[in-house]
Amino acid sequence: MGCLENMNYEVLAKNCSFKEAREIIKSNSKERYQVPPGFKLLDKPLIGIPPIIVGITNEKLVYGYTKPCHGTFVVVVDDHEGVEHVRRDGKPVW
Amino acid sequence: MGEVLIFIGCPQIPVQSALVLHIADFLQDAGHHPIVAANPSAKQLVKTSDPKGHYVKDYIDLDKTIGDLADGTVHYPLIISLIHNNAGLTYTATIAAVSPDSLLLSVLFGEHAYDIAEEVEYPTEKVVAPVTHNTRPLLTKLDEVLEWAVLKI
Repeated sequence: MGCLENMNYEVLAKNCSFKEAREIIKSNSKERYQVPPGFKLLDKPLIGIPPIIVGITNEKLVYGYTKPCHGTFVVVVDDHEGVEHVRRDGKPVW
Repeated sequence: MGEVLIFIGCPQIPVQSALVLHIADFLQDAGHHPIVAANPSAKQLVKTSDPKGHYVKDYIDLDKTIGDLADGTVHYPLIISLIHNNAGLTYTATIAAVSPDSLLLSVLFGEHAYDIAEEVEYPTEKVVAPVTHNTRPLLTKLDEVLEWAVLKI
């Protein structure tokens, strides 16, 4: 586990609303899972308006990352532990 | 009397720090202990205005607060969230989801306060005024709601 800054990641979108982020995640993911607010990835709780969608594509996580001054980013993160965690504890959605 | 959480976001709008001190003062007079959840820059602005901690003694990190509420390791009977952008709304909706038993007040301010208030879909009492520099339009309603809220907890 670690900080996002220490991982390989790319930003798909930035400074968007959470609803916009949800649609971007859905359209950029091969698998989609619903998780509760506070669900932890890289030791940080996910911020978001339920239902929170986390996607997986090419064994990478796709999710929204909210910062107080910069809105919500959609990031693609190479986090194998996170992928396993989401597949194990998230609810698959289509 | 218990702890009350004041949850604040980006400190970009000048009224935010003043509102924190006003709310903390009200809570202390009512016998409650205010705790401020903030990011480092928002915390620094409040601490600069209250260097001896007359109004706010305790600060905690925003994301740690969400995690602790979600884990159930902390509970606040009253949470007052200051919101002026979409991120603030997202954080507050998260609080509503992870702490459904708390009484949640949403104080919406800034240029887009009414637009953001229309997007609120979680259970909360709203205080709304599109103020940036002048707290006065917000204070009368805020004080009324605070008086009601501290009686409910």
